[in-house]
Amino acid sequence: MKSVVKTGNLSKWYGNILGISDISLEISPGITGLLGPNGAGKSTFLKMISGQLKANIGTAAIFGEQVFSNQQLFSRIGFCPEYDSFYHDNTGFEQVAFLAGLRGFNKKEAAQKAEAAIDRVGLLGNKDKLIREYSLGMRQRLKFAGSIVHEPEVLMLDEPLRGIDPLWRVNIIRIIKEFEKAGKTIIVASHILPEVEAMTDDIILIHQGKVFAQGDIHYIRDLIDTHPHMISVKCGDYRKLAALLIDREYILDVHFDRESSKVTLKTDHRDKFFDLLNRTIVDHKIEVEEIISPDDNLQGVFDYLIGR
Amino acid sequence: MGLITSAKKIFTFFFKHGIKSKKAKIFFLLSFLPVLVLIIAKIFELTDPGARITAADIFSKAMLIIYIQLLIPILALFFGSLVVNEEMDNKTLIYLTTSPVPKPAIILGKYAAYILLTAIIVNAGLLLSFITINIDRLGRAVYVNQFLTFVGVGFLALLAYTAFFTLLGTIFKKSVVFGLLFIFGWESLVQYFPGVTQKFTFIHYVKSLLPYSAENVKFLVFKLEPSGTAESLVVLLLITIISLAVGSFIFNKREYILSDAA
Repeated sequence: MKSVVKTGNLSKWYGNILGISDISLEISPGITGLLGPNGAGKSTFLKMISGQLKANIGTAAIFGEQVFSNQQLFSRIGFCPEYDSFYHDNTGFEQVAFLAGLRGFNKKEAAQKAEAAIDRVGLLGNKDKLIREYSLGMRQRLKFAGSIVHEPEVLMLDEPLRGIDPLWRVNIIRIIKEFEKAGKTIIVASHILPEVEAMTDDIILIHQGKVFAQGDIHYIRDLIDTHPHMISVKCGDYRKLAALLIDREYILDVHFDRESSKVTLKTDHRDKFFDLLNRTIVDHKIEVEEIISPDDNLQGVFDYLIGR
Repeated sequence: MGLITSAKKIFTFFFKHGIKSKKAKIFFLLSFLPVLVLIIAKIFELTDPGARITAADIFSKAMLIIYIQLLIPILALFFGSLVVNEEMDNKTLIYLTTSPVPKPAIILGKYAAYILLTAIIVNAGLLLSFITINIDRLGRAVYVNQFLTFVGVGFLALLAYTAFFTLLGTIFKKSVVFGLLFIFGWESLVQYFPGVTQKFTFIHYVKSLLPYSAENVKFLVFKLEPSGTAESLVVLLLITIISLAVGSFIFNKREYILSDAA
């Protein structure tokens, strides 16, 4: 398949700090997972191939054209940033319609496109709310809506599922797969293996600014299955949730954080754990604010892999 | 998309965005504070016809200095700096710089939106002040010419200062600090230097456009060695055009790195 994204010896430094180093790869249509611990260089790589950052050395091209400052190319790219990026005094609809307008749609078309994108992420009922009133999960979905509003050919998503509740994670993954079916190129950066695994088998592992490995996800999946993982769940009923999970043998440790209403669980069987967690949340109607793997989680996995 | 179409879209969004912002509301309130003083003075004047200081006196002698020397530069500083800095702070710059719009359209569209917004803030206060002093004699209002002159000169000052602070925003991350030093350091001091030195300030040209020979603004043009009207107009317009052109050029070429980039 013809590659859409192509980089050659791509390198970036922030002063003395290395962002990425000597990355040469080709990405074809379909979903590609960019996996690595926080600070590995995933975001830098995405920013470079989306034209936000200039390379110190090397090249980044999409559809054969250099990306940085290539305004014409940007109408074919959608980017969902990792961090909160909002005009908080505006409504969700106003922000997404503005983004559609910037892609060349007239006022009426932009409004229609924005409404469709917002509907797709389940925020239609809240579209006229100020963004500052949105929850973390809603804001994340709104950002995603902004990145798909113009139906881009290349979609770049930086930690797109962060802070989204389990039910909407499934829906967002479904939408991403719909883009894949439409023959588009999707690059998803994440530091959480199961998230990427739910979308694709095709991964690029980035570690300390370099491509550590590229290919099928299963080859590292088997290696790390027994590596213990930490998962934090933030919710009002965090003690109840812990009580419902604690009797399973694959839960190795439980730690409560009363100040932030959070329980952190350690498991040596991620798959079983997430199955159980999702079932428990749904069955007991527990309202979850956030599910995250602490930052050192994938770092631990990488340390483990490198050490082997 | 072309430069004009893009700038128009950006102008429309940011004007609405700006007018709803907390900053705009605070500045609206600030610009109405002098009006409050005038209302109190007017009440005293109406209840005591022999009052030694009238609301009109305060308007012509004190209000104008508040608007010209204080409110306009500060408004210009905050909104001019916002053009780029708020995008960095909110991390929304990515939406603008990865859109298929010419980068200068971002600067020009936002600049125009904030110029309109600040002009409304300044002139709303000024107009209310004017109405207050003439409330009992609207048919034979005083200081009409002075009011109109100040509206015009104030607008020119806004154009030049906001363009300059927009330029600073494209260069410095904390451009507000440099702007404050410029307003309260350089401008406040150098405008009183004799000879040509005072021509190195913006305020010199702003004041040169005021009716500086009028008795009631003498205090405002203290130590002023005025430049001609045409020269002042040209300099203020040149400051505006050059600042915007250089700002757009820098914004187009520069790579802006958000704090979490690494």
